[in-house]
Amino acid sequence: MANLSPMKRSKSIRLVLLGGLSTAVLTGCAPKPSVSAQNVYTNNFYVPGAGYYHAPFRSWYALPYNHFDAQRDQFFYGGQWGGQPFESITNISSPTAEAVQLVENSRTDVSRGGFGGWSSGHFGGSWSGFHA
Amino acid sequence: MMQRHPCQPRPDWREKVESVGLTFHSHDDGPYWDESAAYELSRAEVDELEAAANRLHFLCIDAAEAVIKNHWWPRLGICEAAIPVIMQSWERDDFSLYGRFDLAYDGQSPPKLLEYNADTPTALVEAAVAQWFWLRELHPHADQFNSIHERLIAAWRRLAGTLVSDPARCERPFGTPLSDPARFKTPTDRAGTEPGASAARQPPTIHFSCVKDLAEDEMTVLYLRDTCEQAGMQTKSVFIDDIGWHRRAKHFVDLDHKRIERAFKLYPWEWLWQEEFSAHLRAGCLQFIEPAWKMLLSNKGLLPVLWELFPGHPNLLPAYEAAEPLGGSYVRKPKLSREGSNVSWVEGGVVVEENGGNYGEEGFVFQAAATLPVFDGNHPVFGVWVVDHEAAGLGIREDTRRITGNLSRFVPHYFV
Repeated sequence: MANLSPMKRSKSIRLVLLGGLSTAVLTGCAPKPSVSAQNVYTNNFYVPGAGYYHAPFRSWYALPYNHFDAQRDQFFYGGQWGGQPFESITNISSPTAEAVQLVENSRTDVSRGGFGGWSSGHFGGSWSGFHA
Repeated sequence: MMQRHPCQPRPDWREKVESVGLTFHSHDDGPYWDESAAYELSRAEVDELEAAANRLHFLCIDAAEAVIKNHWWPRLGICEAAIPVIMQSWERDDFSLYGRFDLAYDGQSPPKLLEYNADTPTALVEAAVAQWFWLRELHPHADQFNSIHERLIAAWRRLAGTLVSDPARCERPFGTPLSDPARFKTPTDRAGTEPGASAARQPPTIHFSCVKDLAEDEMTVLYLRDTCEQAGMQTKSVFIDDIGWHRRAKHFVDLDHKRIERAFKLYPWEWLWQEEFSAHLRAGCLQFIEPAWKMLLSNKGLLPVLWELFPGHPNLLPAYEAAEPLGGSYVRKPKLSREGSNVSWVEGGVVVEENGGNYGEEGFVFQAAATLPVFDGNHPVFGVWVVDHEAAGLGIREDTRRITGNLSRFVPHYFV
């Protein structure tokens, strides 16, 4: 006689991340290098906390260079909106000292390491730390 | 009738389980994933385990509510700073993804609660994935108590449907009353009533966090992230010690300085409270999964509360805050320990089995010893998974010792 009870197992299992494991997936995002007025940067060079570099304006902004906003029907460049994309032959430049200072300020606004310290006291010599 | 069958392990079992994420299949003393045996259960036994877990989950929620209403925080050794955050998450009914009951069960008498791993349960990849693929290859016509994978995806989908970005959350006062009957409804209860209207909104990113350099943790978190992505959510990884605090904006950020609003953490709440950034948790700008209210369920101080509220319940063992009511035979457990650390098995006033560890400062509870079945010298413990408030699957771990530890082996199961 056929068993009419519903199955209690998953019908199928598809793995998206686990099957195609990559180091990048596991390690997450890596810390970014600091910026310098002695270096040059191309348009849209991204710095966490500071934004996207706009080479003609030698600074970082919250939105990418010539970002188009459909609702405004305008383009963003150099901290302002315009009806046309900004046209410039400068697509690489060194930032101003003020721009570098702003980036550095954004870095010091964030402190890290305030979580995770307690684990170090519990993992010594153990195959797994706190699993339940 | 439950049976343990010796089996011939697949010659390439290591490669096979690794290919589905179980890279931590062995330890220095031998295999952790052990397919040299398998447990065969009857459907009635599986039904009993499932029903017991569903009952126990809501008993635990009732007990947690009693702790809150009666201010029994010291009974659970919960620090003062945690209380408002627990209350806030409880009142908001913050999303809880999963947990795992450890049950003693011999197939004769009702399953008995040993503990509820409600905050940082692991052994998930092996239960949800590895044993499912094992079943498909070796027992394709049999069934398994294991819809964990589907339930996880469904749970994330439900969260995605209910989430809205809420930047004003820091100012939000405590929410619905404890008596709100809509609290803790199961997905079945909610079926047909959940609005899908918010689906058009972009769900916020869920961050996934654990400590560095622990393969089991990283794979467990990666698996959960996998299920979250399959539910249509955006996900991102950030190790627990890489989480940043933005002083001016007063919110948590990842390494890209992006705000972390919701994060799954495989890291115990009681450790978070010992750390510098815990001072910022009161602002409520970061919602962790599992939520703070799960601290009540994962705490073994809840075991005496459960017995006090539901004395004689068939799925509970007598438990107290002192050893005397149990005479000379009991199991002594730290309120916060994991993987059997600092658990002592006492018979006739003598310690007959004991695990070492770093726990116990928070106090102990005393539980009557469960009758553990023995199969070929092995004691199985039945880990029943709860996903989004409903029992969803089973993972069996066994040991020649009666205290399950971090070297206890995972043995797959099936039923016909």
